[in-house]
Amino acid sequence: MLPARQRIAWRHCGDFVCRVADNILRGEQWVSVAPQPRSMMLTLGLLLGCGSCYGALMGAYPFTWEETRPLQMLYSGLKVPLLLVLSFALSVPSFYVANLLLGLGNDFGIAFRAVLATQAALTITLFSLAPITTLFYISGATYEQALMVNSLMFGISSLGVQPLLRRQYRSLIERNPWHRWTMRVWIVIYAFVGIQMGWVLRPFVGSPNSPTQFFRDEAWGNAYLVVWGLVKRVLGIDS
Amino acid sequence: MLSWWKPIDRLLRGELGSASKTSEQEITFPIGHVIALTILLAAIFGASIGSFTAVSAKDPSQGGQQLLASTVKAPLLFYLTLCVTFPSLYVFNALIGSQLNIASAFRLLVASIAVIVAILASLGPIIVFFAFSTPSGTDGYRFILILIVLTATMSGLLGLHYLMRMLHRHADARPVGVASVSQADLHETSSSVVLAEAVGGTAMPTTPRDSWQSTRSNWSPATVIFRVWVVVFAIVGAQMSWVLRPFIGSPDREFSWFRERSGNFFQAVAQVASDLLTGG
Repeated sequence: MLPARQRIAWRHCGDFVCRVADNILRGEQWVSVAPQPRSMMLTLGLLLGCGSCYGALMGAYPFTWEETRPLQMLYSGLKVPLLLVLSFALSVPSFYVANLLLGLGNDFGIAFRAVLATQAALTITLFSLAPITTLFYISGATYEQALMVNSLMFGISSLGVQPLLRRQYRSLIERNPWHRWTMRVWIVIYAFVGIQMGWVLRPFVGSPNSPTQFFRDEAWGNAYLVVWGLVKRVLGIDS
Repeated sequence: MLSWWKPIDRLLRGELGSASKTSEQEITFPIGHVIALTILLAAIFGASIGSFTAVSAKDPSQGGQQLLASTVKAPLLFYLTLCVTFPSLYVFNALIGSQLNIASAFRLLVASIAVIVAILASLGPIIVFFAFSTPSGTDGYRFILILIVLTATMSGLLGLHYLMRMLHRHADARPVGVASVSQADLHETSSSVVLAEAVGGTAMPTTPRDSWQSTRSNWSPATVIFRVWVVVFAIVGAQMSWVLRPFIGSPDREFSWFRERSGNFFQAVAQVASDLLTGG
């Protein structure tokens, strides 16, 4: 049992984290008002923390005491934040230039915070879906099913934050309708980079039959070419 | 600290004149500084497209040579295109009686190139990422080639759109009383706004200051001439990139600074695209 004062301090801390998370999800305080450095740092912390937690859960497949590999949990816990941060970092320069070109350079700070908050909201959503993934793991999903459930969770959270992005962009679009286009540019570039990044950083779940590795040797490849190869095989136009 | 980046930032925002000058026709930005920055940005783009061979070549020295060649050739591509097209831009510009003098026309073209290379350099990290993660086989090479052609086309179109918009703003910037706006023009403008409303759902704000956000669709002789000229610029740029090839460097072929002179850009891109689609 902690001393009373420490308990109160912890509760305050928890309240503060919850409030920041709530603000991010509701899209408040972010767009118009420049946020305080403390809440900005906390947002980043939430992004990394929630991402790692979900990643660790992904790596915990098949979720039994005997078979779960702590090393895979650690790797996946590192790789999910890496996936989000790297995709974000690679897409920002183009987003910046698109903003300048469309004459929206003065609003770039706000637009940047809007996409960053959306990114944080995505990981919080992912974190909130963790119990569902756990349920599937516990109920004895096969490796393929585990992959599918996780892709579904990423898909759901990516779609789920779309209204938030739109809500945060609403005041910007009211100010200048061209913000709608930079928002679309962001979505297209981020999705294009994110898909390939997810492919390169495999395995996230880790097949129980192959050894635990940070990177898989055969993972280095191009996701779009792989998909195109599948399409060609299905259509029977393979040479 | 970021003051060296400031001129490009201002150009991208569409601010061509210095703040102290009131005349709209004057294009006064530090030209030497901007040219140095565009060369740097073009070199960054060149290095990022050369990175595919640098990663995938079996012989490391060959990869290094290709990286160096692409880094050097990319700025060359833009400035050679400028040399080839500048005379005709100036002549057309004078023919239609615009207010731009030769120095301003030159600056305008440099500004458009700055816009194009800024977009390309900003896509550089993404291209490097794909170059690193795409396998070095023939399909990988085709994928990278199509990716780069698409990004270059997109940036080229945006850069030329920028050029058109600046030409409208600076070349047409006559006093309001002198400008003869015909009734037909007015009618056309309003109908295009209605069309934009119908298509896009919202009407763009028609501020006279920034015609990027309200591209007037008039078909006066001046505009037609400029549109034709923009097409010429695009074709010259594409063909120049063909003459200066290889930029990416095919993994199956020996390194060379230039390839034999044959074919043209459009034929080659169509060939690669159809190969990638059919797996030929």
